[in-house]
Amino acid sequence: MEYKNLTSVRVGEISLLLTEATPSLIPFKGDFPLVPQLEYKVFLEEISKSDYFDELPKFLKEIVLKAEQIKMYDDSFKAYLKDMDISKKEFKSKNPVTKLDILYDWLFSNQLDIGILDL
Amino acid sequence: MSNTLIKSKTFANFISGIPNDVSLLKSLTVGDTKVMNGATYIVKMTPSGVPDWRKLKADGTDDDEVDYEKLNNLFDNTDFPDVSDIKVNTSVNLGGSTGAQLVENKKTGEKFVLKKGASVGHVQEEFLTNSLYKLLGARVPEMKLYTSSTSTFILSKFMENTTPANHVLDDVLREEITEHFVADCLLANWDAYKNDNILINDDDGFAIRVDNGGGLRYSAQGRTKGSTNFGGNVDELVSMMLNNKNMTSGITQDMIKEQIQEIVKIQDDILNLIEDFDLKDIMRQRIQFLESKIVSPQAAPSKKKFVASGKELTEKQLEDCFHAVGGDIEKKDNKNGWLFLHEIAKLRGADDIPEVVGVKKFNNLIADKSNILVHRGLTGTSNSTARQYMDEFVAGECFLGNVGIYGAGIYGAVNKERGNYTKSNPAWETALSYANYEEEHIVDFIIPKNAKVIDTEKIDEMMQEEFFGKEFAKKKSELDEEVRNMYEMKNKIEDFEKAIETQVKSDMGWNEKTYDVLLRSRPEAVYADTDKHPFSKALNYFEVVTKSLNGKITKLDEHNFEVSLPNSRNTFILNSHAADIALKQKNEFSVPYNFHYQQFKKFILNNHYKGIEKKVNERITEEKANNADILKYKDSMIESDRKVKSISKEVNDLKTNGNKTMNKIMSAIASRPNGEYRGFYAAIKGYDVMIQEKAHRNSGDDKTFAIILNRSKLIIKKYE
Repeated sequence: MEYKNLTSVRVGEISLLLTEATPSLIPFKGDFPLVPQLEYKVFLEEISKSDYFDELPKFLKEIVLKAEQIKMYDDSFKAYLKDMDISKKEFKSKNPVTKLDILYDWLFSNQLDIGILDL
Repeated sequence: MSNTLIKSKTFANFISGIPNDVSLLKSLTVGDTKVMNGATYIVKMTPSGVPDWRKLKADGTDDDEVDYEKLNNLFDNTDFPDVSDIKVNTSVNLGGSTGAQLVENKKTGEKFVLKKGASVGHVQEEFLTNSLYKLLGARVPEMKLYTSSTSTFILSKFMENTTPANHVLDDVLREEITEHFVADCLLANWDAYKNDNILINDDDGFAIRVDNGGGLRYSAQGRTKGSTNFGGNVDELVSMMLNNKNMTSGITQDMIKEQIQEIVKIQDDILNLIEDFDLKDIMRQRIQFLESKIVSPQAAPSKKKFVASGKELTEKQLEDCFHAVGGDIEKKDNKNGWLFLHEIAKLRGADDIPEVVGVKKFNNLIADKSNILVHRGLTGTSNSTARQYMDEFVAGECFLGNVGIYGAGIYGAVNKERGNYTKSNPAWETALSYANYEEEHIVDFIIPKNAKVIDTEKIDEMMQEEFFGKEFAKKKSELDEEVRNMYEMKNKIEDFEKAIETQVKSDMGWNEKTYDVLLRSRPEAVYADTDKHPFSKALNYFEVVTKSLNGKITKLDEHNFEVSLPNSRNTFILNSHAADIALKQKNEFSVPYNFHYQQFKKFILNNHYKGIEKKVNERITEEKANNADILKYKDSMIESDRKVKSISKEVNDLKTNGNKTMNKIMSAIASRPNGEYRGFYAAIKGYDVMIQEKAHRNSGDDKTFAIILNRSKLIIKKYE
């Protein structure tokens, strides 16, 4: 569907986490924020040059693809926490060992492994 | 005679004791039910091989207790073993979320799958899920629920020859599986399309949903989903589409509508299968929710209503809006989108419905150049059709969007050419692409001259000045220039690399189509069994592939064919004997493949494609090292990066100082200028619309967006 491939639609889906230093409850390894807040205005100008996502330069596509991956896993993990009746606040307040246990539970229940944390 | 009439007539005869015509009975669907005077009747297959009505056994249980015999009778399980005849095959663990075991009937040797679930409740609910699937027409294995004081488990027939649907998914299979997409949503079977939960029975080619332990109130691992996750709304219509794009890509709104209609038709039968009051109530609500999706909205009454705007919200009003969203200004929902923005809109009356006018009046309004003409294109989703979104925009709940890179609000494309409704008009074309190229899904409207309109650049300036002061704005402008330079240099370097890549690939015969085919078609699986697919057939396929890469296949003798490729000295010998003995299979649930053909595919990928990729990288590295322009770009980038870091520090210090004087709400908005939060700021200040110039700049056309914050100000052109 061409609509879904419009740059504004695709970037719009993940825009809020582009400038976050911690874009997810999952401890992804990588350089964050993906787009520093101070550079966001120019980033918007750049992506506006292409109607469709496929037409974006590679280095911009990579940023969006990483963000999409983060969002996909983050949404899944949040749904998992909800299923377990654990709020985001409660999760953040748990000790690192417990957090890791919960993370592994989620990974394994989705047949994922710790390797997905490397972006 | 329709199926409904046949059902009614045969049932009436059964109740009256009148013998039914066999031809009518044969048209009945096994599992169909009817309830009369508190008793449930079901169509069962009789020993004579003809379906007929039977009254379900009354065993005097409480209303709250589930009569599993009723459900068991839906399945063909008369030949299932007694408990004492079940033998566990300890050598095979079938996996799955809660562990399934392969067992045997001691007397007949027939194999079954035994599932206990994570708890008694879990396995009982899984059985109910399967029963509902059966009623809804989706294939599930034949099974039986065994209940006793010591043990409760499901036994289902083990199918020897199956392939996981996800391994062989194609459009035909997708269509078959998603025929029951709405059923999957209704039953909240979130994992339906994951892993090996749907298998293809190799004997008849049909798809079967085999692992439905994550349906209704339980997750796959046996945890209860909770009422917030499994309630009266079938949110799965959206979530299952999003989480299973590969499976659901072909689903259309019409398909969903049809499936909902079928479910609504048999809602009594569905509810009659459920005896748990709470679950029955939830299911009733879920079916009503689905039904609401196929009911048309009322037409919009013509109404003129302008709400006063232009006044900035007071601090109290701002706090009220903030608290109404629990302090989360990014909170959204499916009904109103950005909830913080919606709270502001409610205060202003900006969520009220717009005026709708006829074509003549609309054209007169366009003629006045102080009015702004806008086109809004809409696309359907699994939740609603495009038409429903249009009607909602004009006459329904005020949905203020949930994505918006230029600012939160409702988006439309500004038509500066007025009257030009063709693809040559960038605004019309933009709206058309948002409407997925369906012209009838575009709403035209006017922003009247008395609306308070502001450019997003101006909003940015206002935000900067209010939050951080003039000096910040100056420094930020310097920073932006350096960042622009960095992007420009990156683009130039990428263009340089792209040109080399295109050249090398062209010179060395990279064939994108063949590459795609090799990766997707999996010849090693398709031609795996040489008994079914003789070597000559595979050879034909490989010849086409090799020739497309300017390679050669030379026949050495009857059984040996040498393959050579233009970019490699290596050759590969395709040998018919090797192919015959190369059938492999990782385990009984994985797809068989031909090892020899797999090796050949690897030979092509490594000796042709990988070789070209390696050459591309070598050439890029080599040419970049000596290219004066590239060196210049890199130096420029490094210099800009250095300046960005230095100016960033100054800018951040100014930002921090500015923050000290703001209340927490404005502080939150100040944390994200230039994006979605612009919409919040503009709405707080009393603006009705923002205009984003230079959005989408393909082929040199500058496109302009209008971002609506006050729906009640708009004047809509009536559409059919």
